[in-house]
Amino acid sequence: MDLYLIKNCQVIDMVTEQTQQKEILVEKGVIKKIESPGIIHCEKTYDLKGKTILPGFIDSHMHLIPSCIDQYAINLENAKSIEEILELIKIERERNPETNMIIGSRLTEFSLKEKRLPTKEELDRVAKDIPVFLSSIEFHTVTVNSYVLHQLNLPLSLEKIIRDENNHPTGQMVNNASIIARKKMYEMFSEKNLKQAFEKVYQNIIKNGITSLIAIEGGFLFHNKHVDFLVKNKLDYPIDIDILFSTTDVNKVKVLGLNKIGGDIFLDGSFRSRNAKISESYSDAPGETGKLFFSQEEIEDLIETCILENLQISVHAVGNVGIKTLIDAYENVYKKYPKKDYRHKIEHFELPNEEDIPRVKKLGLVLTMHPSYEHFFRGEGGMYDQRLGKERSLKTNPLRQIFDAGITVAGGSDSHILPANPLLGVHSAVNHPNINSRLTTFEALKMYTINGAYGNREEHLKGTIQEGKMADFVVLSDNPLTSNSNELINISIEQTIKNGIVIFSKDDQ
Amino acid sequence: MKLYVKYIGRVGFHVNGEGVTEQLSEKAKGILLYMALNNKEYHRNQLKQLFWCDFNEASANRNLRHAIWNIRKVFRTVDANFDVLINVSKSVIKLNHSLVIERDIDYFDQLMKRESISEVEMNSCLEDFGQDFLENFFISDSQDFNNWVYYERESFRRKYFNHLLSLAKRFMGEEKYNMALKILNNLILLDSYNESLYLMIMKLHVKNGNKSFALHTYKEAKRVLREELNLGLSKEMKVYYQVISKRVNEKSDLKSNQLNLDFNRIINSDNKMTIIITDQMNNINQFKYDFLSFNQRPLIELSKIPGRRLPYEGVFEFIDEYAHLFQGDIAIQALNDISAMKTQHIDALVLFNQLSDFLKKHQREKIIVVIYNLAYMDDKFIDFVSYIYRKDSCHNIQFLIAYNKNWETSRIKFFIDAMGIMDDINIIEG
Repeated sequence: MDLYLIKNCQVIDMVTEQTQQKEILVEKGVIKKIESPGIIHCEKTYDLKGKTILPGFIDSHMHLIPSCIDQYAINLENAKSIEEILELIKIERERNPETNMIIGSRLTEFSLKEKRLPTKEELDRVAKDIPVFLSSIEFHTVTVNSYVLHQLNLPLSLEKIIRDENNHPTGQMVNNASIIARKKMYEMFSEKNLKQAFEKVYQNIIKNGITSLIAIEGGFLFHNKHVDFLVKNKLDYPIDIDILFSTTDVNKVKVLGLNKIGGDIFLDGSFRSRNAKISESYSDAPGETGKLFFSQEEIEDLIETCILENLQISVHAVGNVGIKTLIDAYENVYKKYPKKDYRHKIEHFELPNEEDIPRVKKLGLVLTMHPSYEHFFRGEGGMYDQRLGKERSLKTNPLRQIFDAGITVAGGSDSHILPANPLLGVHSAVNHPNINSRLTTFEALKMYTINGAYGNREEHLKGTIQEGKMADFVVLSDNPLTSNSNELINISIEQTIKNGIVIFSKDDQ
Repeated sequence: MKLYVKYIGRVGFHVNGEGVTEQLSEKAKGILLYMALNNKEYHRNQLKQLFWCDFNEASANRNLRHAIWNIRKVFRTVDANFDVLINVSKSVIKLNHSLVIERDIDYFDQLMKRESISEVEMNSCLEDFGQDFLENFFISDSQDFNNWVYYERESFRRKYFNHLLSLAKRFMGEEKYNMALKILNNLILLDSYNESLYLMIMKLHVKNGNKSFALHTYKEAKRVLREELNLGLSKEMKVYYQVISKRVNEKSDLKSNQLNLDFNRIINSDNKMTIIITDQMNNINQFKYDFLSFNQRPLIELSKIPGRRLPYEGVFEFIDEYAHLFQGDIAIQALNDISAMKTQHIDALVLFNQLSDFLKKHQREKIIVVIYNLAYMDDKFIDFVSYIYRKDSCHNIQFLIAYNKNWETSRIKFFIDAMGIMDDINIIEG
């Protein structure tokens, strides 16, 4: 439909915190006109039957290719014993006899009755002739079978493979060796399988109302060939896929014609791996305070290079020391260059010092945060509680304080770690376990609409329902602004519309 | 009877000079590899455990008998009366004591013990022994044997690394810097995260008078460690880098260039090519001196010496210099393959196409190709520069070309005229 009228709908345009009865004229994928009902006459109409329409959701932090690979992975999170793991591999091979590699994810020895990871000999019992890679939840450890071990060619100075009492490798690799093993896994994963998985992941993305996303790909944790794959294939899909290449190699990014860099440039690590840099020890590891992977000088050099190359940079910082170091770096570099509308970013920003929040505003930085961390990682015995302790975990993801400081916060799902579900993010932000950190529903929706667009320098095209903007919409079963806060999670996505075309409809499912 | 066993790279067996590898089953090869390495007596149970640990006793016995039969048969096809495996007792076997065993790895040991090694010997050593011990040799149902292979592979790799490192140090002591560099660049392929290797390479480049290569090595080490493992460089590396950067900068302050060229602006511009036209030879010499004093980027220098490109053409000079600059980078093998064609007759367009494709894919750090005197380059090279410029395949290359007007040819004139109207080409006359 080149020209049609969307009618009979409740419009939340994300410009004002109101729900309006409006009709939207769409021409060639763009919003042509917005008027009260009955004013615009158009032959073709699209009746939303009273449902609520918002700008299409923008997911500002997603690991798209790892999400695809997860489609092929056996989830080992609930395995209770090594025998159970072997059984799951056996079942997978029986279910799919053509499979040429086994990938397992979310393995943790703590939930196994043996309290240890399987050995390569055990894995060989069920898969001696194809590669097997089992990753731990936080990617810290990778366990492989003999087949993989003999193909790895680990550099000599990487002494991070675990050995048994006979000095034979057990198949378990940690730290840097696990990075090499994961890279090998990505290399072995065929492009054909990736394409098939991409289709499934795409269906899930549009089912969740996402019309634009920022895919954080490549870098030391993943594989640079994923970036090449996306560059080659992203236009086959109607949604907007922007690539954030997690490299420090500015030339590579420029050659690909990308205008942004980073995402997973790890200034520090994560709470789960206890390498997010914090000022006081981890609650469950006295003496450990995490790690900074860049010196102050190195991170400033990188930011400066990006400014000179006109690239928007996003850096990962989680712990309060990591975050402060990064803000200091931006501040120092900005002193050298006249302040412009750079919109450089900080990804995660989970545990900032209170006094650092206003500095973010002053520097004009954009934050990408993940409210659903609070949904999954909080609670008694949860990850935040274990690693940070009760008192400190109350300070994680202080969205209220950040919004009150006037900072632009874009929302990201951090899929494949967590579900690619913006409404879950909205629900989590509104129902933040710390009452003092909660957002209003409108504010939370901004994270996944206009703030996402602003962070991606696309606010003139997306993020609100206004004339001249792209006709990207999500149609909801209920109005989130009038729903009870604890009911937000139950709102369903009825339609997803990209450039004026319905790409998902619940009725077709 | 003589048995030659090739342990490095793809496994190979020769009996009295005749290749027999394909006549042996995988497990027969495994047994022979295992026995020929230490040449001792072996209990049959030990071999069964190595190769058939998951089999029942009867089946393991039957399989071992079959493998032994296979080995014997292969040797008997060469000499019908020769029994290669001797039964020491009912359960113990060994290789026939009259069998002369030669192993490629022995040659490596002998070579490393020698007091002097020629460049040719060193090159063949790098080529022959730079591959893996029993490369891709894996018997999926023989766990203990695979563990043995893994152990021996690691041991050999470590031995190879340590010996060659010592050899590189010896060459450094003898001021044979290029030979030492060649070894170290090969070792980097084995251990690409080893900072001390990068530091040694930097120091060698400095000793060799090539500071820009040293700076390039630093940047490469920084890139590899950050990109692959999210690691920064050590303080020692950073301090050394600062020392040599400072020396380069100090040198550039000594003399201002007579052409009054702002190299900083030229190099940092978005121009793909800068052509400096002069009618004074002195200016060209001055340009050479000034530019080298200034430059810190990776550099390819062409036409430094008249006639350097004879007997092969300037395009191949560029290829070889490019390959030299990025030696150690695995992708360069493709360029070496193109370089190998220099002795064949090859259509210019085919050659340009292949090179253009390579350059498009091989996008690394920005490099400068400086041509000190365009008149020294042949027409084919000038065609090549035009071609890759038009194909837009030189994103990471910036050309800096000096040209003496008095030496103008019709091809050069056409080239300058054509380039002069392009937006991203800067022409400076002086």
